[in-house]
Amino acid sequence: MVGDNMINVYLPNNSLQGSEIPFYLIWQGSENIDLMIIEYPDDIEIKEIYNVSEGNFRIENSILYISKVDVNGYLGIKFVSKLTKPLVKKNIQVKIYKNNQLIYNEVKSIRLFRPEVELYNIPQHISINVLESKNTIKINISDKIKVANSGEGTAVLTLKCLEESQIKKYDPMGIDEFRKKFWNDVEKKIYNLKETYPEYASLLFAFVDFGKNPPVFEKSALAKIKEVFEGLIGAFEENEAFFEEFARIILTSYLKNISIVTELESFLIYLKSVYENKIIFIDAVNVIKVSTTPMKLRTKLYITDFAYNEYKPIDLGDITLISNKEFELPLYALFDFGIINRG
Amino acid sequence: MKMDPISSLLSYAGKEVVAKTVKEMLRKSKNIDKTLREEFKILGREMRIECPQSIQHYSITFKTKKSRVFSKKQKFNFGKVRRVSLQPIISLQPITDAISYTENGFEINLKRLEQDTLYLLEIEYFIEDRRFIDALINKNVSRESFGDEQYEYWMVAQFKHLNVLKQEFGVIELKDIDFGVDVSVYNDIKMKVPSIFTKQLEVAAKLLSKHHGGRDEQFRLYWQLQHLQRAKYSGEVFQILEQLQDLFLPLTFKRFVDVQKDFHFYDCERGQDFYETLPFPTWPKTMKVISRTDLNFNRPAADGLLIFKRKDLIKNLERIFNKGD
Repeated sequence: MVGDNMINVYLPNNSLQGSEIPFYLIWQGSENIDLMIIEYPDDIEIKEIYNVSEGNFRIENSILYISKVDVNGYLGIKFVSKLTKPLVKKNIQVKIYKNNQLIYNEVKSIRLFRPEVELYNIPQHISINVLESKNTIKINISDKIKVANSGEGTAVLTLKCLEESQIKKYDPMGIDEFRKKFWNDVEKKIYNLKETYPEYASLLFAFVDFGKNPPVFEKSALAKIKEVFEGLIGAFEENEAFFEEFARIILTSYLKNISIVTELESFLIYLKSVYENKIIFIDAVNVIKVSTTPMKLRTKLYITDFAYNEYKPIDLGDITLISNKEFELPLYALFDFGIINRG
Repeated sequence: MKMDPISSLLSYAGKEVVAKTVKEMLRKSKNIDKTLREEFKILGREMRIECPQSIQHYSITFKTKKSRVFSKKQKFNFGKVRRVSLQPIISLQPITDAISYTENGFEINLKRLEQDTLYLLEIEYFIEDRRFIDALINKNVSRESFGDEQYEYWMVAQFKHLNVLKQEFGVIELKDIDFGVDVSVYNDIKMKVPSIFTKQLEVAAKLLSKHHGGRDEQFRLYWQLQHLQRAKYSGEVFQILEQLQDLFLPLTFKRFVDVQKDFHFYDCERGQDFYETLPFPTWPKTMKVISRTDLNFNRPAADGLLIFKRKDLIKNLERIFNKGD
């Protein structure tokens, strides 16, 4: 008889929604099992089954029936979760039968989480008052766009100015110059690298393309980002020499173009891009030009997370901006990413 | 070619890759055995795969006969080898001049071997199909930790195909399977950097930059800097940045992580965030922690836990900014 303590069932306690979830059962190889039933929730689907052959399993209504494993003592499954409510607890039930008798019955739970970005305030008009004294500048902003993340997952946000927007965002600092020079340098060197490693050519070009033209978080781009990054990591793992060459290119291009200013600026950007309630705002470096003439800002807020999930972009509508003088305003100054209670 | 759902569910394409490579590995090991048996008695064999370098490592213990050996050399031309080592079990001192490498393998100079002695022969071959490890093992790690108190990240390694590893001599061991977990550090750094320090950085960055405005702007910046010089951290900006950077050095950062269960810590490096357009992060939002585990036929799955001791990192950050308090 197989006792409970002879069966080891693994399911992680938690997982970011949209990512893969491993699951396995290990039991004493000498024990023959007639049937295993794995019942899982609708928010999860099976991606792969390990150590089982065709004809020895079936899936019906989110229940997996396994009559035989290839090598006794092990069953592996890879699940993938779908996007659902921001935080849910789900159960997977495992039943094992031997000689038509239920000999093992256990429920394993997993918490599935994700970010939940909500807009609390979208002003239609924002007035900017720049108070310049002899020694200081003080900026008063009449109203802010209030965004909060009430989920447990980190939200990565970027703002896209639409075609019809009279105000466009841009990068005012030396970091942009550095970035351009850096990527041009990398691109040149990558051309040579692809000669040695033609099998990675498409990955390398896609990588440079992301660097030169940072994508918006739309489904196709996110899928491509995921593919390229995972592809590169895979390539580094399988080919150490390629990794070393690649790292050398990045490092030499970096050192060639870096300056003290970049070092300081990059830390400032870093500090301005992260917010307390698990928000990373990647536009921290960018500014907009405001002036005494009222102008329309027409934007969409794009959201993704650490599992490259795509969320519906938030249309911020028309926001009219007016300032008492022409001024370069940091984009983050328009936002309030205040903490809200996640409990 | 699009796979049907069953083939995809059972990862048939990967199974073919694994079966082909294992067959090739066994062809080499069996040929080695056969050749050795012509002169010696094989006492033990072990096969393992060194995952980071994708290497087949085959070791055999054998005993030489009491009688004299007549042939001079034994040829093992079953594929290009990476490394071969031969040593008597008692001394474990490699007999380097007993081995010579050939175009397609190696040779043992039998004259260099003692009679009636136990030897250990170790041979390493590169596994040519680079897809092999990924086709054989499923690797998953948690993308993000849950909760605010303690940051924990799970890691799992599990065989996709087990029956292909079932061989006559039992265990094929897969050693040092690498796992990278991105440990989030950005929040703790952000929260611990005092606002006055950020202001000093802003002024310093503007002054050093060629992009700052006209005379008025310059005057204002100098005035601000003068004002800030009376404040804390003045003149220490670069030292503080350096100390902060030190926290992300592997030797320092490894103190803030603890790898438990079936995995062990191997290394750490600055993380690469997919949303960053600078691929060499000066200031990492994550640290990539590399952990390793082993799998074999008798242990087809392993799970590990990586704990990020963020309170220790926070203490270090506080120490940097509270010096002299």
